[in-house]
Amino acid sequence: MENPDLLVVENLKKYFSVGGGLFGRPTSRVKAVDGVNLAVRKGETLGLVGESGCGKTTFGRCILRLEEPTEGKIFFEGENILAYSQKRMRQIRRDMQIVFQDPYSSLNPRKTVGQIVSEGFRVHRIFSKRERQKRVREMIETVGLLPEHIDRYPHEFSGGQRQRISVARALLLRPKMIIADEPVSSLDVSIQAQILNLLVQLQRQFDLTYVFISHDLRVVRHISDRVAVMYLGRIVELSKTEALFKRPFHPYTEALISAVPAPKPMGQRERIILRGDIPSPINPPAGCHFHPRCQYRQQICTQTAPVMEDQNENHWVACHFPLTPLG
Amino acid sequence: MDKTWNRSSKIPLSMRISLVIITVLGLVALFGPLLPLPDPYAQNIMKALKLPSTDHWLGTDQLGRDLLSRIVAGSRFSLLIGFGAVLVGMAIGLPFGMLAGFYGRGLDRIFSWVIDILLAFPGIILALAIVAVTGPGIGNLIFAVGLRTIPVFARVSRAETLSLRQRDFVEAARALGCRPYEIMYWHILPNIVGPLMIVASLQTATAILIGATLSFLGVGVSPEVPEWGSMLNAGRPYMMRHPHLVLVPGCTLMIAMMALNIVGDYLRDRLDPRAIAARG
Amino acid sequence: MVLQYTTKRIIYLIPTLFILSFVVFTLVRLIPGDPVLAIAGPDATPEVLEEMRIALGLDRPILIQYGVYLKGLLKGDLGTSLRTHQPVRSEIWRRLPSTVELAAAGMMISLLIGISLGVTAALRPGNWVDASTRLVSLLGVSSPTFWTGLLFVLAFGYYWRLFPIAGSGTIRHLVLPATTVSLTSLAFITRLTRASLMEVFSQDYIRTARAKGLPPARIVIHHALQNALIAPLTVAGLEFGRLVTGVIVIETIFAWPGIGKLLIDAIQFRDWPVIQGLILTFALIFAFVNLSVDVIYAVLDPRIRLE
Repeated sequence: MENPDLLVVENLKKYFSVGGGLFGRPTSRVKAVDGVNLAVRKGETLGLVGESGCGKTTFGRCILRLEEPTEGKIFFEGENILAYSQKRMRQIRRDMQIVFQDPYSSLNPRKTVGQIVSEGFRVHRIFSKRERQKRVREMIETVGLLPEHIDRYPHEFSGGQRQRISVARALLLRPKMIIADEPVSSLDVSIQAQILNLLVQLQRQFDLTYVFISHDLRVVRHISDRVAVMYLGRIVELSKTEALFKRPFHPYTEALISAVPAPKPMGQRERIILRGDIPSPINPPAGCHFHPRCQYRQQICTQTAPVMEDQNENHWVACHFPLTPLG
Repeated sequence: MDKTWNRSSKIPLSMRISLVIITVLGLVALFGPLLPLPDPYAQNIMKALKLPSTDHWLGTDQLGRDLLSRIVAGSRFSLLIGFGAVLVGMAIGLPFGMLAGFYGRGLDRIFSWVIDILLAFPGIILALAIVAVTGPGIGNLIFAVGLRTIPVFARVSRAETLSLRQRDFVEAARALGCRPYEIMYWHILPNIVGPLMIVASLQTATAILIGATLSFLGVGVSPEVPEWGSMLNAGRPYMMRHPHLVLVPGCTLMIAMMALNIVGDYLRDRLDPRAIAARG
Repeated sequence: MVLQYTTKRIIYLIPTLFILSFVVFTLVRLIPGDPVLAIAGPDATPEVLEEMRIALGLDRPILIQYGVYLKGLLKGDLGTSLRTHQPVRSEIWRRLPSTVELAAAGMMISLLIGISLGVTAALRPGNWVDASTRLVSLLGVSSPTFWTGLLFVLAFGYYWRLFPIAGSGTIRHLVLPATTVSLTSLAFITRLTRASLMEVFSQDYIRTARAKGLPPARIVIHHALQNALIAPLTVAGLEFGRLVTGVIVIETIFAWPGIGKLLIDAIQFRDWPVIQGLILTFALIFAFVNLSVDVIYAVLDPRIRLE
């Protein structure tokens, strides 16, 4: 039977060395990603949420090997890509692409739209010039732009249009998976909806798998099949979208959800305000990373890190005292 | 965050005059030999040290050579030194700085080390050392002056590369599988060119100045070459009674420098985002 | 804290100095063709050539000779002049005070006048003082030092015989050379002070002071100047390079007996021990000046110390 998982991440860690003494020896480490286990099924949209600094962007970049992980394994279509040579990696890159958050820095200001979008063809040296032009033209129209845009420069476009260009660039090589790193966070709310709808439509059209990274819970809820919640380098909760939002098991998830303004008058929850600031990833707290801010913490939480356990039909939580419906 | 020409601005008068001056200079340098002027090297003792007249519009020097044609010929040498030195600086400084900024760490440390050595010599000491070794001559002069411009270009290239390397479009290129040299050539280089041109224009003026200074000190071009600084040096013994010998090349040099500086400053104020921020 | 910073900087400096001395030392060997022949000239006898070869240390392998050279350096011995047969060290030492005098006078003039002009221009932007100051600044930056020097010689030495134009000895001898030296730096410092001051003026805390009704002069002196002076101070270090160039040229024009003129003469006579000694001297002084500026800067700006 074919493995339904396109991407399997095993115990991924990414530590950055910081600081330097007189001779440049690092004094401390930023534990951006601290042991993540995750599987992404073919064809699904996995949402990855968390506050700024929780490591989700670093995680996304590690999957593509834009950052080299410190530890762990990444299996793409069953093979560990961390063991690949540069040459082999280059071939695999055609299957996994990325769309960035900032529409203003993700396009080279000195190149035309056509040159930017067709970069994939240029790098892999495929297709004749005429074939390239044809495909670029098709892709431009697919993302909702016009053919006459091909010879224009990025500064002539708005944020939303630029993101469309980024998407076109990512799709040109027909990848199997796309990491979307906060693709709509820099856009106006009205434009966000447009781009999100485009992404959904493209997923169906091209049979894509998405890892959708965001700090905006409403957006994630709208577009994801499953959601993973990340805190200080670790996944704390993972389940189907509605299950997570209707009935979170982790105190952090509960607090996150409570902070989202609900449109319906009766849907407004009691807002949970967490104590303290997010601790720095340089010196994460021992045991459960969340314990200093958790109102339910006990002794064991300060000593032992909890592991992910299935609470209820593939609803996984890493907590010693997962929430029950009454409390 | 890209730089666009502010089309609605007026170009100030000083800038316009400067551009005219530079264009004239360039044309004169290019087409000098074609002009109906006397040979700048032809000596005629009978006509030495004459004041400006209809025969010789700017007079003659101590060996009877026509000053106007020597000034015109001198413009070629000045521009040659200026552009030559800048070319040397860019040819070596640009790749060096870009590689250091791109790869960082070890390479960067070697880079800083070499640049520090080059910059450890104040003012024209380095250029003097080089010409002391190689002897006079325009090629040697271009090399000596060029050596001083290398650190400038290297530093700018490195700084620009460092900041560009962080930009998302470079990451996107990596994600597509772009090889490092491709990234440098296709993505980084086109974006460095702008700031580099600004540096180049200001450095040209400096290079011409240093070349003239070295020639004035007698260690630049060979003595009979009609370079402006050299002409000033040659005219020194006679200047008390025949001031036009030094006034003519001196004023020419000063005007050329002013024009180049005005243009360079203008370009920098208009195009460099950091200068725009500093204007306040 | 400051001591730690200073020590760190000095430690980083030492390898650079070593490389510097090696580079300077190797220069002679880089002369195309036979260096000794190039120096002594085509009609020197074989004995003279051999003598010179030994004197310049070209008879032994480069590393051994460098060792000898280095040992001598650390003892303070810079070799012997090929021309005067005097120790290089004493030749330099004799002339150094004159150069220092010239440089110091020039720097003082450029700072005093430069800052005053800059302040005046900034206080009344747009009026004729400001405009003419800007014009003079541009002229100052664009005119080669040797050109203004020659103009001064013509003007004040010949047409209006106010000041002597050659030699040294009295304050009157100092005036023309020092003024010429100061000009380029003066122009630069004026521009910088004006720009810096104007930027400070537009800052909010100055406007607060003005709104409180403090008289403009007090505002300038108490609030603005402190911050505005940081920029020219940084520039002082950079200006040193320009100062050295200026000094070398000025000494040549005004026959001022300093180490600048010594260097040019040495280059023309190919007196290599002197050339090497002087290059090292200049580089050393430069390194020292940079270090001092950095340390002063660190004292003034606490942020740097925490690096």
